[in-house]
Amino acid sequence: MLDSSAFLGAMSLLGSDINIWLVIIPGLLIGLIAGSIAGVSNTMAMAICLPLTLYMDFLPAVMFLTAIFTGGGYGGAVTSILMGIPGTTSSVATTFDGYPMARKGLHNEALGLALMSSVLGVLVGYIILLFVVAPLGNWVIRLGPAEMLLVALWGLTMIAALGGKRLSRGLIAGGFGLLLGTVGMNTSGYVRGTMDIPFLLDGIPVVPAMMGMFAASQLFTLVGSQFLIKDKAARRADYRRVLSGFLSVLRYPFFQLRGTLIGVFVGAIPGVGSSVGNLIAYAQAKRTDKDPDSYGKGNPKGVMAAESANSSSEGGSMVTMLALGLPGGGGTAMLLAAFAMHNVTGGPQFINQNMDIVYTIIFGNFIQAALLLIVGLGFLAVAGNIVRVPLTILIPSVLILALIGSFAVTGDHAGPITLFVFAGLGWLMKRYGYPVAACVVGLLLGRMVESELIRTWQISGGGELAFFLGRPVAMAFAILLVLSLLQPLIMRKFTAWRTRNRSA
Amino acid sequence: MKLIFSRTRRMSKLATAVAMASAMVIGANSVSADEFPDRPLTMVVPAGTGGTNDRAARLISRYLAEELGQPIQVVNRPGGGNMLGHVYFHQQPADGYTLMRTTGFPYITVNQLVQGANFEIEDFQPVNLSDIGTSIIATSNDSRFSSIEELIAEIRENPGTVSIGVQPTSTDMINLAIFLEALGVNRDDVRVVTYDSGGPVRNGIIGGQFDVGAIGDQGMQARRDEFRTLMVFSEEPSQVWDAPHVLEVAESEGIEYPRVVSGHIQGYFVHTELMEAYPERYAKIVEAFQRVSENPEAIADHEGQDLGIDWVGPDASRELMLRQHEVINDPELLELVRPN
Amino acid sequence: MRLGPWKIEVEYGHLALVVVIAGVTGFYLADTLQVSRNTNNIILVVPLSLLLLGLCLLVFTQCIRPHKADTPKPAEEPADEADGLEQEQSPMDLLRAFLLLVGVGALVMFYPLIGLDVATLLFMIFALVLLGVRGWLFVPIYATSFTLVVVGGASWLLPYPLPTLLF
Repeated sequence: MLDSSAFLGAMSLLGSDINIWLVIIPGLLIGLIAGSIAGVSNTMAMAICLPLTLYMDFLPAVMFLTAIFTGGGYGGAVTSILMGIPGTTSSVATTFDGYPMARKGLHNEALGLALMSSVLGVLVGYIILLFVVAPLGNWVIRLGPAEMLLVALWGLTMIAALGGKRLSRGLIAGGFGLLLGTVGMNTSGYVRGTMDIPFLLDGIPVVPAMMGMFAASQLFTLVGSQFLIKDKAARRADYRRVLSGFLSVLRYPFFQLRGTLIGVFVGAIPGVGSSVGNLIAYAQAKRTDKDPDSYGKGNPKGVMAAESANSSSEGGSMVTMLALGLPGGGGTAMLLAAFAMHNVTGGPQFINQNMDIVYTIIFGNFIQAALLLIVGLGFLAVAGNIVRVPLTILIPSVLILALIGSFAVTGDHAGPITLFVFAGLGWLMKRYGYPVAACVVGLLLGRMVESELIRTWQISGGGELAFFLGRPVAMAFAILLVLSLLQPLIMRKFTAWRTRNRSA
Repeated sequence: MKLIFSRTRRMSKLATAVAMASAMVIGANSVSADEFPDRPLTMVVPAGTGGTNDRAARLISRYLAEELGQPIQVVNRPGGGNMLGHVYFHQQPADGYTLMRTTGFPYITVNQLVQGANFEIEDFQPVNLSDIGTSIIATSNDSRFSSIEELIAEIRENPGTVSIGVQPTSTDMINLAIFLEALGVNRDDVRVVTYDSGGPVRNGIIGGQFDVGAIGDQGMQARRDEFRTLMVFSEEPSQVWDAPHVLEVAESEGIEYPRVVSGHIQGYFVHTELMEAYPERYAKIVEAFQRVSENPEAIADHEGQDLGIDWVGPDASRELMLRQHEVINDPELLELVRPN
Repeated sequence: MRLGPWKIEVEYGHLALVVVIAGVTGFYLADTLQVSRNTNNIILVVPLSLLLLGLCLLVFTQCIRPHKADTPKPAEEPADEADGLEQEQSPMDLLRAFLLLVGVGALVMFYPLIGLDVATLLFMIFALVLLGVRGWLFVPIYATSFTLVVVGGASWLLPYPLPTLLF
């Protein structure tokens, strides 16, 4: 499956231009910084740097952008852990356990964990990519509405896994988010709920809404506290603890691998692939763990699951981009644009004729992963100090950053207005025990669920069973979905049966 | 001190006073025609990054920037069927610093006649319409249909079983609707599967997600081995696609065929107002575009990416746009675009 | 509140939230139905909003707990497991948080008028003082430098113009 001539070609390409290597560290840094400022995200950083790549050759340009992408993937984790505000839509799941860990004073471990998980995620993700880039391309193109619907539903089951004490509240939060996600012009051309506000035609801008909800619910609840972490001694950036977090990942190789696999394959699905991947991985980890209730309170495995998935989904979405010319998400859309600027089109021909370039990109990313380790650690030395800033200063500063970030996303008044509205909503929800994350998940998935549901309905002529029976992949997904929901039940029955047999 | 002015924002009295003062200072150094452009330009793309219009805009911006001597920044404003981007462009001052790359037809028309936009097609002056597409009906290589006759027969014999993928607000939808009506087929006799944009329809065709798809032929040439073309919506036999054209098919089916609508027309626009307000700047822009379209390197690049670069020129382009606008400016036809 | 021999416990804030959610859902449902009854339009929105309204009704009833004034209060629903990490907020803190939210709203509403830079500066000063930062020197210095760095940096980096007054 490895193309040896492409392999050699890639080696020579990598050695041909020093610029390819020079851009990696700056790219990683930009991505890290951008991802960790709540408001800016790696997509935004890529968008800003895109014009710069005009002055670079093709390979350095791609290396630069993918380095930003990689850096941002981890950068998002930093703000998720330290402040409970996701830096990107793919770091939402990281907040669930990362932030509680930080509040407990375990932020060093959490950051170390996340870094290692991210690095391994990128590495393993791209290794898998190496072997499956061509067949995966063929596979993705066969994904039809039914399959996409099932993936979206799988992501939705996340809402149930998010729990919160009362199921009714989780359902309301999630359902409301889902509903809001459908505002605007739907895939059949109907326009709902826009109240004649033009920017709503395209739906409620997700990133500002998400930031508003998380920022408000976290920051406003912190008013009155002096510091993020009560214990002064715990606030130091302690490298030993970061390292211990690091190494603890290595104790759970299979766990990490599972998260990575989920990330790669879900990340390859065009559309919301990378945002959904971390949620599915988290939900899966929670469901199958012996102690599911510890998730959400600071279980390191929760952070691992989320971070391994969101880093590997980068590799997955690269597949879709290279193989089909379809953007898997914001980051790969930027890459496509860069490709165009340098006169390269993605698509099967590209893969067939330019396997060496594909390999070059993959190997380049291996190097990025390794360098991320070093640059990340250095970054942590600085970033970890955020927890020492008094909240009285931190809160307004983060609010402004979030505001500017939401302006940047929409380019006009729409972003900040959305931020404000959802900040109010998020705060109220948090006060009364409604899981904000469930609402965000619903918002993220709303469009996808509705669009694919509509298309499935259309293509099956109104729900004819025959349609589904003829689609093995959809059936497989459905079975997987049901199995994954039942897995905890099955596991419990199985352990009970085993204990009974043993004691007999 | 540079004051950033925008027509859509109200400024307080103090701000206005400051603005006027600055304007007078700046005005004293006003830009004459030879100095245009003296700062970077913006090209608005009413679609997301990575799409066809975006890629074309970025590709040509490089060459344009060389001709004009100033960088050109691409700004994406997706949403609402290209409407948000068109509105944004329309609101920018007509001073030559804002250009637009968009799918002018049918979107500007649809924006105006169906979506209630407050601009008119005459407000947009095409500098060059470089990509003129044609609607086609295509299917995957392993589809059960290998000819248009088979498709028509199947639709008639087994109504409600054939699925057709299409983007609802596109000319392909319009052509499809006209075709079905001419055949005497009811909308409900086919399963219309709707997508938000052309890309997924293309991939759906190739991947066999639905039986057939109605799509514009832009961006399909590079992938022609991956799918089968069944019919072309053109008035003349197609030079590009190995399939019959719609009038031919209509004749062999013995039916009247009312009209063929052009495929998507994409290109570059400025404000019509610019032509009168700053004629020298307009001329400079047109000239720059024309020179790019003759630049062999640019031509090679565009062709390599399946993007058009032929020089049609502003006058011919405007005439084409207005003509196609009139073709679909028919309430009955527009009903087909409006979802019921 | 008392209603004759009955005492009714009402969580007003919670009620407000539920009413808002139900209201928005209801409005959206009505708007969607008015646009079209076609399956392609209603397939998700209608069942989902009905479900949501039902749930809201359920929670609504949970917000209002009547009991006879003479009998002791029925065992309180165990409070949602207090997040051990959350520090309890005093009413003063809640008020501050609310004012902060209002401040954000004002910022969002007025920045097109007075410019993002001025608005940011004002907001920073307001927030810092509200949250209790002491130092007549520190507050304006931090606010100004923060504004300069952040707003200046943003206007330099971003491709579209930031509405600003001073630069």
